[in-house]
Amino acid sequence: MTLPQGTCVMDLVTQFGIPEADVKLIFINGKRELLSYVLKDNDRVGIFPPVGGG
Amino acid sequence: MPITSRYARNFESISLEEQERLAGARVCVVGLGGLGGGVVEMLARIGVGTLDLVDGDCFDETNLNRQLLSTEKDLGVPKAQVARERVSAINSTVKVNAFDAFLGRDNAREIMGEAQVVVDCLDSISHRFLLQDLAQARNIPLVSGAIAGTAGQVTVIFPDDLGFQLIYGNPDDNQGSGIEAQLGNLAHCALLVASLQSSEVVKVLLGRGEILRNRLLICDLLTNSFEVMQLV
Repeated sequence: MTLPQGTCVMDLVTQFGIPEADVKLIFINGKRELLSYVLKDNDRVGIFPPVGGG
Repeated sequence: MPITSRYARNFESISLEEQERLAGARVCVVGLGGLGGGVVEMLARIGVGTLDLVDGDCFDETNLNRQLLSTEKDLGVPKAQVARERVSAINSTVKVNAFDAFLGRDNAREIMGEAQVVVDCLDSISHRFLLQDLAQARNIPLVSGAIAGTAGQVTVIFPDDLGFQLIYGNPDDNQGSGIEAQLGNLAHCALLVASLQSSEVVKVLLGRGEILRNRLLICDLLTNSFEVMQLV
């Protein structure tokens, strides 16, 4: 998807309407990052909820 | 039964020397439900010599969809007792210490004090943080698995690692359940993650292979995606 320069993961979470409490793990290109991470061209973004069942 | 015939199909993936090392190993499995039932089954079969098995719950009908140790005839029976009987039926050379209790700060020394590896098969995030504290205080590596719906994750936490903080954030923000409260838990996903956990336990005990330390294996069976993510 195309996003404006300077878009961070938090902006993406807001845009998708994902409740912030449901966002536990963010991976950019397979590496853990924070909500404040500013996206770059061709970044692969993974946003994961808390998984705790057994 | 001679060791060479019981474990004949383990060789050459596991050498005789490694098999003997497993026989001398001691592993504590905390939680004997969907994940724990699978882990106990596999560690008993592969020949881990001593198993400390912990769960204060009894089986109920909601366990039958996925928990390997649960059967209709054992509804109402303590999970730790059933686990002990199952291990004894599979491999009588394995010594079992079954604890019909929930692990806490008061009984941690007695329950997990001698283990070389602890396996986190719990079903609540707050209890996982407690287990990490208890394991790290005793310098014991922790192999953790978690499931929700068709998704699962596995990691290995060593004594100096940040561990769950990297996965769940602040412990105080994790008093409730995870997404499994909405997605439920499925047999095939539970047993897949239990297999991955058992594999990590064996690798930690034998000191070989790539261990998921500071990494999180995330899988989703709906899309057949398996990825190992870097946590630090």
